[in-house]
Amino acid sequence: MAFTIALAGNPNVGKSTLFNALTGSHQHVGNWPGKTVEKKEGRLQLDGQDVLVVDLPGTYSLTAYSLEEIIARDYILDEQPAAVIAVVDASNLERNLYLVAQLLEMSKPVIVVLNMTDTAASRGLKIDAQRLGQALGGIPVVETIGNRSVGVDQLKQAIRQVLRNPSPAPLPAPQQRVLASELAALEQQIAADPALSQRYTTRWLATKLLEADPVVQEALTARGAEALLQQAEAAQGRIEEATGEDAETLVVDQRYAFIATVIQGALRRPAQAVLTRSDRIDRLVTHRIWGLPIFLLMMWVVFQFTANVSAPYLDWIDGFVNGSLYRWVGALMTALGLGDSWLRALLTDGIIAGVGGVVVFIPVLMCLYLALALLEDSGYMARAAFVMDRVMRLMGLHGKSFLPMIVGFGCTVPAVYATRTLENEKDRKLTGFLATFMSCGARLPVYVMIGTAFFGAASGNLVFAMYLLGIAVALAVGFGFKHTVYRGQPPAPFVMELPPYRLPRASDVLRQVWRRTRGFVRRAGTLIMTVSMVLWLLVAIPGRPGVGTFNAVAPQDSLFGRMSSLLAPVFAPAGFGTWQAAGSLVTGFLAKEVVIATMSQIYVGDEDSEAPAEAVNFPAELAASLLDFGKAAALTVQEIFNIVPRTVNLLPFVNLPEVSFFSDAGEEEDTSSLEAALVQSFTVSAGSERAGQVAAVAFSVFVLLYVPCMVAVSAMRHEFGARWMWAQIGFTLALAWFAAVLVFQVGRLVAG
Amino acid sequence: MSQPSTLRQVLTIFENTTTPLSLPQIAHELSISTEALDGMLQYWVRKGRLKETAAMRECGTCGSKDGCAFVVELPHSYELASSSNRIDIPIIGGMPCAH
Ligand SMILES: Nc1nc2c(ncn2[C@@H]2O[C@H](COP(=O)(O)OP(=O)(O)OP(=O)(O)O)[C@@H](O)[C@H]2O)c(=O)[nH]1
Ligand SMILES: [Mg+2]
Repeated sequence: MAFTIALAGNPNVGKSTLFNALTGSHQHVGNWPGKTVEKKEGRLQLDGQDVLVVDLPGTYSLTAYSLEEIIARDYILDEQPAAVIAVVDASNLERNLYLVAQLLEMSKPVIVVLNMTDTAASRGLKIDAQRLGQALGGIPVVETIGNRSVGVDQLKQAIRQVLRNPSPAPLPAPQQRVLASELAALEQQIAADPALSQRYTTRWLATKLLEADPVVQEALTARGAEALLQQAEAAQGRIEEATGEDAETLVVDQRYAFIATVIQGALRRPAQAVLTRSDRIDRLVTHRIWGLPIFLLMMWVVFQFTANVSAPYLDWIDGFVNGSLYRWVGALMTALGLGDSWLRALLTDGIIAGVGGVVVFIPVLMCLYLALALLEDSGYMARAAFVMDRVMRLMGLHGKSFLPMIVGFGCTVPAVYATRTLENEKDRKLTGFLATFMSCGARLPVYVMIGTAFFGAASGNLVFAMYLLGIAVALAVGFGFKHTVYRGQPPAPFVMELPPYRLPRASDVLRQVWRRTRGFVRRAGTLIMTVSMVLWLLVAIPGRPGVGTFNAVAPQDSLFGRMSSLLAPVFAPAGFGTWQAAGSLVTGFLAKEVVIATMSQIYVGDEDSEAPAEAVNFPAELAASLLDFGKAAALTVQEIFNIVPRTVNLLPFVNLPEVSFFSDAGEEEDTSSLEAALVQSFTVSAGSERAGQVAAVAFSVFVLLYVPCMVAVSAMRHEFGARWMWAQIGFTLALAWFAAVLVFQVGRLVAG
Repeated sequence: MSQPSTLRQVLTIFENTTTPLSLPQIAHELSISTEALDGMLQYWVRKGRLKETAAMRECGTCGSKDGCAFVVELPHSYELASSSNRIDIPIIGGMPCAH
């Protein structure tokens, strides 16, 4: 009769590789009967003897919790292979030995193959194969490198020997007294029943009974061995009473204890310091005291980077879209004899102003996405939950809640879904609620526009302040909720897998930036485009009879202007009670960058005076435009350098100079017409220039806090239900209004 | 009994900690490898004593075919499973999206 041997092991340890090395081309691939798991069989010639080799599915254990596990153990039980080859990943010995421990319980001849010895060596792990074999009860251990066929001959030799003299591997002796005696009692019982002891090895069956293995229990019930099952149950009870531990846990722990002793003699880990570089960075970055300031500093750098590095390109693209492109299209339409038509107005004042107004912020968003992608890819973001845990906990929130919030910096919609990583329904709802206060990418252009219009070079500070305010409001609201409607037990701490730090990979980072930017551009081309066209129509239609005709009506008298005017007084206490501001906030519900599209459209429409009459010198303008682009690139480099002095200057008494590539030339402050119109409008509504600035901040605060966009709201309904969604809408509107009024009223007093 | 088992100690650490921990920290404390710790955590997850949350990678449709561009890869984490308020939503793989 031919012998059969089976290859068992954890997934991905090289079983199939060794199987191929042993059997060469003599193999047959099929499926396990009735299963979708692949079955591989092959033939090996040893001294003229035919040996059937079976490649078992990879498993970590031999319980009954997965198809692979059941297939593997049933094969060993039913087909009774002459020997089992336990393939072990030498670089991950401790975990792999768990399966070996279970194989030993089956009382079969076992050969341990230490595969991947090359990987183990490169990690500085030293394994003494001989001592390992001894510790495992004197079984053969062979070292191999499967993919280079190293050690395959020794393996064949070991197989030859085992087949010649098959002796089952000795059973590991349980150290736990109660467990040992109960096992022995059950084994005796099993041995007394020939039907059982022929089918199963006694130790294995006794162990499975204590583990309450459902498959085994079923099989025994089918065989009418109820008495044994009852005894097993009684044994479990006795074990639990004596040790306070359930029997299964004890059985599993015995295996770990066995592994620990085996490892002790046979494995030497590298002598180098136990702390890796990653660990050392973590010591600082997740430090109890330093962690938070480091986190804030990171955020500060991110927003300095975002606001300032993008600025030169922002100016360039703004000049191009709202200057050159606007005029070229105007000139083209005039040449076609459509100079005063509604079509020209739709193209220039509608689409170019609206979509273009948003598109100009692409450099800003790219910078933000780049900075965030760098933090993500390096592994730092994962640490934020650790760092913020103490703060979150003070507020009664779960530290892990901060992770969805970080997602919210990109977009609120996935942030709402990311709350699923929280275990508790209340935490989940609350976190979804709070995540909407995190400033998403779409809100950023609004701050940047307001910031550059009112604060010039200091716009980065406004952006940073808005992001911090978002976090602060989220924490405060969370605190309020946790101490009123959402009172509950303190959050449970968590344990996290912290991926080691690594140098961000350029390709990953760039792909991420590209994917996100593409999403933004796509929205500009679809949603924003549609909104711009509809809005243009609303601005072109007269709001009441006698104020003008279609496409010839002052914006404030248009349908949109009239409707917005009704709402404007609501915002007067916040200093921006103009119909333009009110109108943009309403449309901003569709998506927050629509605030900008709307403003560009209505403010541009406002100063319709400058007709595109002047002749266009296309080549010269294009050349100038390209030159400006080059200059913008140089300025970007300058701004990257300047992050350093600006950050260091945060320390008191330090004042590093900033570099400047273009002596003064870059500082000419060319405010665009939109910015000028904005400042003018806010100055009027707030009462003075200073007050106008305060009102601009209040407006940013309102944009930050009020209802997140339509899509986010529907995500909210999907996840938490309609009631919750309406509560959110009502609450955020009220909160945004109160906060904006507070900022304006207090700010005005302080600013004088 | 003589000494609490390593397996039990893992759970005890979860029960006693007041701050978040990382897997290497626990492995270090118990002088086992993180891979072995992983096996022990899996045991408790299977027993329903710990809850594992897998990393979130995709968000079904957010406009683009290849999922939402803004989804951040979140790290794996474990926490004690509380008996109340359990929600069982599989979160590995694609997520549904609004609309
Ligand atoms: N470095 C190294 N790689 C190996 C060694 N042996 C196998 N590999 C590689 O490890 C990978 C997995 O090998 P497989 O043979 O497919 O592993 P397996 O155990 O059959 O995996 P499953 O069937 O999924 O359980 C392959 O890419 C092999 O080339 C080795 O000794 N050293
Ligand atoms: Mg395989």
